[in-house]
Amino acid sequence: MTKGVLLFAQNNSSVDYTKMAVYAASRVKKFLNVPVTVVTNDVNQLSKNDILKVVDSVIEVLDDSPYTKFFYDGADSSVNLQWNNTTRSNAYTLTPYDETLVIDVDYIINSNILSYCWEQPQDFLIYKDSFDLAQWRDQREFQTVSEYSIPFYWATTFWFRKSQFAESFFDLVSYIKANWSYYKSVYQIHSTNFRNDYGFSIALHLLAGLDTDYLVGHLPSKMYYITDRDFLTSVNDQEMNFLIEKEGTSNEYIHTKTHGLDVHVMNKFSLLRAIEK
Amino acid sequence: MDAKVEKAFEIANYMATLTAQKRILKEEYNQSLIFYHNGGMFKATKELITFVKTLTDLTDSNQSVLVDDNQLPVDVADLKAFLTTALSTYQYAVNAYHTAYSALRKNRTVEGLMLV
Repeated sequence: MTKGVLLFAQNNSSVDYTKMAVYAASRVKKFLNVPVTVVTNDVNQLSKNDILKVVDSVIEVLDDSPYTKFFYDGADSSVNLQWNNTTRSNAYTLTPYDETLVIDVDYIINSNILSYCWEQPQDFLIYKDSFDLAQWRDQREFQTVSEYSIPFYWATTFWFRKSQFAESFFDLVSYIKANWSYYKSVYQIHSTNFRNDYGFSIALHLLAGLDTDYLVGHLPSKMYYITDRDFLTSVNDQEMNFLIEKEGTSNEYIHTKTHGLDVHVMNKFSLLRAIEK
Repeated sequence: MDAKVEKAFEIANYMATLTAQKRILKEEYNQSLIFYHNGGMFKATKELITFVKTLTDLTDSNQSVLVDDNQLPVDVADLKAFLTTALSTYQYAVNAYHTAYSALRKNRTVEGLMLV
């Protein structure tokens, strides 16, 4: 069985996902020590980084996403940009590995906790439980896909073994993506944009109803995250420092830090600044 | 601003930072309780340790099947070795938690909390 990590780095006009991918790959090598493949729409930009030691292979795929969204950089600053997120559902056919861990390039590995994936018997692992580093924020949007709807699963990080189940799952996600206007109505989702988290959650619901926990396994621990209203200020070894949006304010922040926790950093601009330090 | 009010805001900032950091420390503790055995994922809780100790004490066999945190049955061929792993995982996690928590409590400024 071959095993490895698949990273998606689909650049837009302002955010260099390839730089984040190279950094994420270096963290994978350090803590998980498995091969890394980067799927990107910008091989030239990726090649400008020192990739030889951390990236084992590169796959070029153009993302024809029709979506845009506001990318925030803290509570006070945002810009509307192309959001290239539609190739994730092709992970099954793109991966060169039998057993693949897919992580977002803004998911920063600080531990070896995900090495568990390759030791366990289930064909599919994903996060359902999450933890916002800001305690006060309403987290319901990450618990169910809409107010009276199904459980929310994170497409940020997941693991799959090549199997009939995994293949069917990704086929369903592609089908949901192609018929997004229908499925978003059925599941009472207000967002016009197709979002992989929604696609994954709906596919799991179609496959298992509300008994999803009997169908897929949970990744260890929780999905720790900051939103794009917060800042990552530094990252080194296993420690990350943050400025977290303060309750009831628009431009005040609380300083906090983590040690040994893998964290999803949704503020891409602050992640790039921290990487470049 | 009045000095007393300024001090009150300073303390409010300190308390907010302390609370956030305590919350994260607890998560770090919870994560460090996780260990793996024979393809299964377990958390070295007091309940698990007590249960496995009971199994080793009250049954003749050193082998058992345990249900892991993904609700899957996992064959444990050597219960005593499993207990040793669970205990050492628990002790390492709780000692690290205690050390970090003690350091946190000693610091009375936001700057001090960030140096822990």
